[in-house]
Amino acid sequence: MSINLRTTFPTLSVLVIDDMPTQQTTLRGQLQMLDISKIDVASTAEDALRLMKSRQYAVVMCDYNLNQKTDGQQILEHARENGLVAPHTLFFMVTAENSYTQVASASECKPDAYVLKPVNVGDIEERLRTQLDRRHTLLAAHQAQARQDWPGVMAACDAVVQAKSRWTMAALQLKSQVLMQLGRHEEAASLFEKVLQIRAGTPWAMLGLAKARKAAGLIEEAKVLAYELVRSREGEKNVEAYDLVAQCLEEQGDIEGAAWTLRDAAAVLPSARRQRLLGEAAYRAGDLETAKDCFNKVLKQTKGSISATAQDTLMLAQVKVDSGEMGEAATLLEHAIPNNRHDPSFTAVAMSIKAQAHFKLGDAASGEAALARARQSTRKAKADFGTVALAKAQLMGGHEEEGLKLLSGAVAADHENPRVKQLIGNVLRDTGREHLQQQVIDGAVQGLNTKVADAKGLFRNSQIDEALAAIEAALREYPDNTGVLLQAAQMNCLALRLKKQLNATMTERVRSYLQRLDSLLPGSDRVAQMHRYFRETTAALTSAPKVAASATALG
Amino acid sequence: MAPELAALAVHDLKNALGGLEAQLQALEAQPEATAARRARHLCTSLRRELVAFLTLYRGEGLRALLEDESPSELLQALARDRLALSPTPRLVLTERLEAPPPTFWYFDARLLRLALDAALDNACRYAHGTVWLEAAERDGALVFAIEDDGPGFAATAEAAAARRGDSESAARAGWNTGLGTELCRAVARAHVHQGRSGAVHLLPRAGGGARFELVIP
Repeated sequence: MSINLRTTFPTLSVLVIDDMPTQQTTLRGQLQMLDISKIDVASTAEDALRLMKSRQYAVVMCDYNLNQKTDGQQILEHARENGLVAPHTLFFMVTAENSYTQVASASECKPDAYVLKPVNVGDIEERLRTQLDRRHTLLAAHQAQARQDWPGVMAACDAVVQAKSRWTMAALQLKSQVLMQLGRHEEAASLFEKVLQIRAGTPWAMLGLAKARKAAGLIEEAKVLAYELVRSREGEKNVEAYDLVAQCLEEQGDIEGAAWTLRDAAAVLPSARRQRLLGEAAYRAGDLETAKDCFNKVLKQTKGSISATAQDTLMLAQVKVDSGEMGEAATLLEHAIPNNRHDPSFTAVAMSIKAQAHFKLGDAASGEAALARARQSTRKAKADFGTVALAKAQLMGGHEEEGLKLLSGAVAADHENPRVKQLIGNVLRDTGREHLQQQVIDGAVQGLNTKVADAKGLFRNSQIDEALAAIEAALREYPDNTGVLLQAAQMNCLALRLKKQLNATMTERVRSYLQRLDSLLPGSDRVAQMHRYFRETTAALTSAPKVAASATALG
Repeated sequence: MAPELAALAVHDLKNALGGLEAQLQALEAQPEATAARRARHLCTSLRRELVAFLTLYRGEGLRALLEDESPSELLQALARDRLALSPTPRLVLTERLEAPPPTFWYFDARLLRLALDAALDNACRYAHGTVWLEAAERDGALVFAIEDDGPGFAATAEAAAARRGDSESAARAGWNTGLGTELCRAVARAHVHQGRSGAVHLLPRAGGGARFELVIP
């Protein structure tokens, strides 16, 4: 190590999360023996989250078995997902020696280190030294990452590799992540292959290579690689690989196979998140028994925990209504409504499901009353579960026109979203309107495709401004439609190339589209490729004023 | 884990606890820093031995969680920890120019630490003055070696057998449950890569003494 990391210990601020007063005192004393004096202690998950929101800690030491409601893994996942811990915060999980292997081998979100009980000062010091060394070695790369200086990240990673650092693999992994994020999947694939030459079977490189293949459209190859990983000794609990297999199967049209793969992943790692993913897939595939089982487990696992979500209750209530268990669904919602009274979207969906239950029981008056309340809080149709639930209630109550209109609206809101189409197909089937599938789904898709085709036609006729106006009008109508957003981003890039100059308004517009796409389709290959196209466009216009636009790019 | 080994281990742990109790009694009568340090040393060893026992006793086979780790840092931490407990014997971290340790290797640092701690404990118990620690790459595998200038494995095995059952002697000379070698072999077996398994070798040291090797593919 090039610097004496021990001297940095007094500068560290540490949050200890443990419900046992004796353990709190012990850990505090041990940290003080390492010259660490800035120590806060939290006894509950709620206290811990409040403290993490109020200040940034260098280190969090969290007991895995915090209490019956929330465990350390849930705190870690919640803190990372909600940005409560900075990227440079070190998260140490304190686990019992006898549960360590099980905890560490099967988790999707890994802490920086595990500290095993009984904790001793030497163990804490060793983990701190190692992780601070890692942070120090990769500091330049992480700093470049924070300012989104992607060439800077890659150069810093290359420097770590050239120095033959102990953190070579970490640097290669970070570099490969950046390449994938930038849509440079061919270069990322080469890098993954290089890592696999250094160490055959490295799980993250195998998974990365599979992802790169998928990004290149080689779905079958990607699936085979991911399969190979989950069959290997080191990758048998790699749930991300299962996810990738499921995605490939879904893209190949094998919905049932995808659901089975997610079932395998939930068996390997029976977390609430995994049960939730499986439950949603099973519900879309019409497997109500599996869906019910999964959401029952989710509710049980997250009861009183920070990872509980209202959506789980709504999903279970919907599954129960679909299964004919109206009484149970009503009880579930009655208990949940008071806790979510400040959330109008929860009330709207809950009322839609209640209306369905009443209609199913033949109580039209109560159904209408619930439907009226659901309509009050529902805004424009979205490509989401809530809109589909309301549409179903409308159809069950005999309001065919309103119901079908909502379903068409949900398709149009994101016409390339296969999952929403699946849910809508199920609603039409369950309400005896299967024959309307083509009219509702294909009709709405066609409507959107026409809008996009019209805009493209204008573009081909060199009516660039008119084309942009047309696509942006479609976007104003359907602001979350990912297909339209992608087209709008591409057309603006092409327009920039044709006009051969960087236009601040247009570049800002593309940036905002990409930002929306990032949040709507996180980790999407298509969005990554659009990011790349935009970067190449701006780079070309900055370096060479004459850039030819390719008409074939308007695919 | 064989029932005979489990019974033997518990028996020796009981003896070691007896030794610790005696040391604490003496400290109660006359508190003294060196004796306290010795008692803590025994307590730490006992805790490690219990962890090793539990690790083996679960019986479902060890599962190695492989990460990229630094072999040199593992040895440094091992030596640092040991020196904090006792200044003797002298620990020497060796590095051969012709076969330097790789900067990183994939292994389960927790399991290796358990195994190497046990091997180092054993070497320190029998060394006359010096223990050497080394990590090197050999034939595509990582080799951790611990050498001592003691009487060698054959002689120490006899001494351990003679001492067994004598708690006073165990407390005086240190103690040996026989778990160490069993643990090291289990840890080696848990490390599998591309069809190759890890291994443990107990060898005579060139120039006298014992050489312990833990090979990780």
